[in-house]
Amino acid sequence: MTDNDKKTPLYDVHVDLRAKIADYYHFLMPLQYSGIISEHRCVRNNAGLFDISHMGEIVIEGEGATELVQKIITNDISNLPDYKAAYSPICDEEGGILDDIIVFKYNLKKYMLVVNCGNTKKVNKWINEFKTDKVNVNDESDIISLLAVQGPKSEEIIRLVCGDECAGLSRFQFKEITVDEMQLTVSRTGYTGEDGFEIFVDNSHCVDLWNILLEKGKDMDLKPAGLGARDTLRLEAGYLLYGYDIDEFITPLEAGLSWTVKFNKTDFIGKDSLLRLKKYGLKRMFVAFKMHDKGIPRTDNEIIHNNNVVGKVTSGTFSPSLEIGIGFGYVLKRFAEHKSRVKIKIRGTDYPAQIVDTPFIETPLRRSHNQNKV
Amino acid sequence: MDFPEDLFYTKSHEWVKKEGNNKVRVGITSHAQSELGDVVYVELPDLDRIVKAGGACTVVESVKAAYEIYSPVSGKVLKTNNDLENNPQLVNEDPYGKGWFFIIEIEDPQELTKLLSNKDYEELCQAK
Repeated sequence: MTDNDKKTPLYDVHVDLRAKIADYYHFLMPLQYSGIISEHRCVRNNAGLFDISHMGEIVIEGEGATELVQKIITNDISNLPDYKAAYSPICDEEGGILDDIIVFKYNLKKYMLVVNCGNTKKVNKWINEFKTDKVNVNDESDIISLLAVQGPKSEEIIRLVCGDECAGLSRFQFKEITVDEMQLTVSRTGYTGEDGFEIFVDNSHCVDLWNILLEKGKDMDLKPAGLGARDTLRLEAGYLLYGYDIDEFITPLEAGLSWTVKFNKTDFIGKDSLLRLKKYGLKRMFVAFKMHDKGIPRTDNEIIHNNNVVGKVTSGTFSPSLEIGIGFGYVLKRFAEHKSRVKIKIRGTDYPAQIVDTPFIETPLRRSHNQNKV
Repeated sequence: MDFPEDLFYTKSHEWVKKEGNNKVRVGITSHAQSELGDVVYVELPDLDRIVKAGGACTVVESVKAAYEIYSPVSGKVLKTNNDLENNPQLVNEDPYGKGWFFIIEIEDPQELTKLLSNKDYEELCQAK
């Protein structure tokens, strides 16, 4: 298999389902099956099944595992319970974001990092530069597949396929189980803003698991959903996408990810640069914006204020839930702070937009989050 | 896939229907709408605008991206399909009917002979 046409174990299944296939960082992935809007609504109303086996898995094991993870991530996992996951950026010495990942903690001596597929090799190499003899770092991306079941009905589907204990997981908790001789790691995580689960499975059982989920989920209207819907769902939910909204030229502080940078923990890579940046102030800031009426923002559109260019769009789309254009971008900091009214230049015309808070829609995760706060 | 016999086609996936001596109706083909996916916005040309054969004159946006639509012939825009403003999905639902884009008063009817027949166009789509 060359680097240019990587396929997940489900490639032929996607083709049989007449999916539109697109190249995503050298993976031939399903962009859509029935259509982005119908798949998006299926996830918001019922449940959707995603093949996200392109995601990378790097396993860190050994005496020095915790120490190594704490060194490379900006978040602090020292108080993270076993079998719980956490989100974090990985930064370089200058504070630029090398990747944004989910850290799965099995115990103090074993972690799995789920990394973006375009960054797997880079991150693996980076971690190996800092590893000691007390720890092993293995890129297991080529043997692990990943499926996501997302949507309000996902808990019932997981109950049917994986049992009550998995259905009872709390957000970001995970569990290892065996189902029909398949060894699965089931976690209550996702990238859609809905309740949902992600299931890690050996490549050899990936197609079986996909079929079982679809079969058992049939009564709950579970349908395959592609990367197109995954993108519109994550935008509505306010989640960043590496390579578009964040990259090595952007720090977590500018990206609105300050909550993931824990200056009080032990030393970590990028700490000094980020501290300096925090002290002397940021120049630009991440914003989310919603169009007033017309116009669909796209990557690289200019953000305008009083006829001046004050920023640039990094992601944009038509929101199937709001039926209006929404997007992310970076603007000079003073325009981010005041919930400014701006314009987005689309094919030469300026369309009015308003800087807003994320998520764009009242997602179930946000609702329960607010309840917990009270 | 549908390739009606009474239409002319372009390599850039527009269809052209002759209506009277010097008028043509233009839209995008069933193949094109299927490739685009859900159409969520259509930017139509201004009335009376002079367009050139092969020149970009309209933009269609799907959820994923924006695409230029090219005028198959040279002439003047007489009428546009205002229904697309509120119902862009007509392009997906009925590409050869209610999903039409605009009517052009054609400058030189000879230009039509340069367009593809339904058979030629079907071959072009299948060659991909």
